[in-house]
Amino acid sequence: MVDTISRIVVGCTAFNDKKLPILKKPESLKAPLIELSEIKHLGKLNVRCGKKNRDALGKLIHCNLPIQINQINSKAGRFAISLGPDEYLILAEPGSENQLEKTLNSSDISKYISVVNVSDALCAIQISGPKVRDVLSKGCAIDFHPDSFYKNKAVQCDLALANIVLVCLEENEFIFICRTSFAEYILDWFIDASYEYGIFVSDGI
Amino acid sequence: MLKIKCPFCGVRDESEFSCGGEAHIARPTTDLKLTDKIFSEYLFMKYNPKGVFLERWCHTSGCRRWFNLARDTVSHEIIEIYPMGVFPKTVKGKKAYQANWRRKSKYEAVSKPAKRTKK
Ligand SMILES: [Zn+2]
Repeated sequence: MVDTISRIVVGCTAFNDKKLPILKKPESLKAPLIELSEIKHLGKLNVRCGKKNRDALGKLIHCNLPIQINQINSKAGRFAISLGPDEYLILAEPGSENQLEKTLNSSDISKYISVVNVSDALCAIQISGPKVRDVLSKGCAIDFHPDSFYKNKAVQCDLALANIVLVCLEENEFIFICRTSFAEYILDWFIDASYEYGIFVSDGI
Repeated sequence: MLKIKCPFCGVRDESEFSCGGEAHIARPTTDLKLTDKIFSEYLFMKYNPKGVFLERWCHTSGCRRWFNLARDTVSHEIIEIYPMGVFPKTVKGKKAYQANWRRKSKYEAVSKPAKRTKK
């Protein structure tokens, strides 16, 4: 009982029922080529906002919103991902999301935007390593060639059977955002899919 | 599998989309003229042509936006992709729009289909 309460207080983490760290690799490999970890308690806000108020919203969150869809803008630890022509996902530092939500809801443009705090509904997972594109292409029908999936590109797609937002941070470094309830399924899928390259799942930050 | 070009996300696999059935079905207005027969035409009767068909599709696994699509039901050729609330622009698409039985039905006469605005 005490355990459940403390879990609720600290908020949901993606891999509650897994014993981390996990290391799975074939014996022939010295070190795993894929690393996976959760970015815990990252603030996430889903914002609907039309073109007219895009600049004003950018000023409020201190990060310009991407004009094109499937793009990501980042500034000082904040990320803005465009999910659709008028829909954005804002990633904020852990703990700052409630204040940011209040700021947006009490601003001049609050009548024209809709803010939903999805911090615990979604979880962010970081994957990196030289073979990360090969592993992702096993479960995702997106072109992962570095020329077509480049830095600061974000797509929404299906990975295995789960719906995710996939963001490219560096050439071999990705973040994906999925439903917290799908996180363990995705972790299981990753352990299976990347066994040949070796995978190390750490507890995260 | 079809390759569908979402107007927002670009070319994706068909499995990411869901089909919403026939496009351009106008809902009848609540009018005294509205009988059960007319309303059932709106609710139950669907068009299932051999040839070009106008459909609504949603990019469920991606941007979750709806759009219209003109598809040949024989060859699966995608003729046109156009936004919601707009009519097809290609010759084949226009023909398919006119060929639908709905255009001559009593039910559409009492509904108010969105009119093409001339600017
Ligand atoms: Zn799309």
